[in-house]
Amino acid sequence: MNRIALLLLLLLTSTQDVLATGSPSIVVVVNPESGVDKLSKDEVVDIFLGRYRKLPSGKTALPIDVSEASTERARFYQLLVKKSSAEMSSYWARLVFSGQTSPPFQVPDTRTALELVRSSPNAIAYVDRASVTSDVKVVFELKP
Amino acid sequence: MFIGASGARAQDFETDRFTFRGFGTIGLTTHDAEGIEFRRNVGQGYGSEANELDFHADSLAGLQLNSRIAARFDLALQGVTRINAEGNWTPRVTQAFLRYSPDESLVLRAGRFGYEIYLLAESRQVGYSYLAVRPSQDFYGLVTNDEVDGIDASWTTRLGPGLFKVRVFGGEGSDETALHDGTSWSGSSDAVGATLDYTWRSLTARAAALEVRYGANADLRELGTFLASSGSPPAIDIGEELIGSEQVSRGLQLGLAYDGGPLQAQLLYGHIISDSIAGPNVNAFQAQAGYRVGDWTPYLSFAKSRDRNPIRSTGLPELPELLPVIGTVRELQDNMRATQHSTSLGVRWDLSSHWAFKAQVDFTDIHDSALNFDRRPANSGDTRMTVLTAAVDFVF
Repeated sequence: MNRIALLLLLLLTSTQDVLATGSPSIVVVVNPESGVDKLSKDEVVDIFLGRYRKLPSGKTALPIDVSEASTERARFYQLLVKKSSAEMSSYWARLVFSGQTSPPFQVPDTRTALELVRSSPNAIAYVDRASVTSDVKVVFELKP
Repeated sequence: MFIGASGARAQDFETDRFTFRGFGTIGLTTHDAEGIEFRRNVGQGYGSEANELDFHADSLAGLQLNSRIAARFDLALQGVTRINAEGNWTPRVTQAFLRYSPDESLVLRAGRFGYEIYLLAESRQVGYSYLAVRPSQDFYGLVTNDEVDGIDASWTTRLGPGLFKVRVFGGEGSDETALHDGTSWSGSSDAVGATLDYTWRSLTARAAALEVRYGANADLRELGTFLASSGSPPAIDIGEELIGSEQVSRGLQLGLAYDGGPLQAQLLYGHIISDSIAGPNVNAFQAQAGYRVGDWTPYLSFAKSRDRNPIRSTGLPELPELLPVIGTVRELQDNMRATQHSTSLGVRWDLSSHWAFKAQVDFTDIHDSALNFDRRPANSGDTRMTVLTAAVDFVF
């Protein structure tokens, strides 16, 4: 019975759903000079989904995505808006092909994302909590 | 668009860059209604016939080039090939605009851009971006080209717990309609509109209004002049509507959408009113919901459109010399009829983050509608059409 239940669970749950659980939390980080101490979940959603890219300090937010193939990216969007990679791709197709806005700036890995956050007061990125260094500021946390 | 792992600096955000993207749909459609040609909208020159496999109705392809020419300026150019009112696949420029955003609240565009009348899918050309095989034929079937050449401005601000966005636009729109007799009509219009959106978490509410003014058509004015002097009161009323220097249609759309987690749902109400028999006078409604289970998203939709007015008679005697006039007045109205409703069931299977397969069945009850070509003998009455579609959507 338990085996059948497990099989059903695997059938009914996407890979991203599994990835979102049982892993370290993901944090959203900004440059210490951004003038931002914390963000709400709604603000993070608005910035990364291209709805309103303005930080509470008034600065323009420049969100950064890591590669589509990365587990951090899949986990981030699964935890933030409960969307799979395919759903996020579909979401961006809506906006990009209607000329409304652009998806976040894409970099290959977390290391590059952190490098950009350190060098730009407008940059905002997500990383595993374990990757956070002292020269960036955590403003939001997504727990599995 | 990647930047390299080394050398990532703040100025990378500001550098010139070009992005080349594309999208497409390969759709196979068949249905069972003898004498009916199924069309996606009235801008398609021919439709799929009963019991035949057809790939014209839902297939299309598009390419888009975006360029950031300066920190606050972007250029976009998009071309799409699909079956048009003349029945060919001549590519059409669907977007060509310069976008300027002085800050994140304000966006100004000049050039060719879309009307933004689709709530959960801002462009109906990109099948991958929406749930069903196609935007509802019942709700959007009278809309052919959904672009305008002009300027628009949108402004977004936080309001309460959510975001409020207002957009206004104006310019010259173009329209094309394929007619039952194999000919097509195309023309331009002056279009102005506004959209108000309020988004809070996964919910979006929208109110949109559009006014379209078509310049006078010489043939219609001549017809109107004749009718206005006919002495028959119903014909005089119709004639006076057609004599004017322009015809006006106004549309209102109210929508509510939910897009959170595995659930996508939307409710739409549309209302179009025209000041003459040459334009549509329609109320439309659509409800759609889908729920993702793993990579599969089954969905259900119901849509209905209904003409508010019955077919108007000229009241003229059916004398041989008047039959062409009576027939033209009837045909003008027939071309804009849209009374039908559909229930659709389907499933979307996300094969990857760039490909999706969809299968859909539509049960459409046609009462009095020009959305499809009806080749049956006159007065054949209502009919039911079951449409089966399989489609593959992709973006790159």
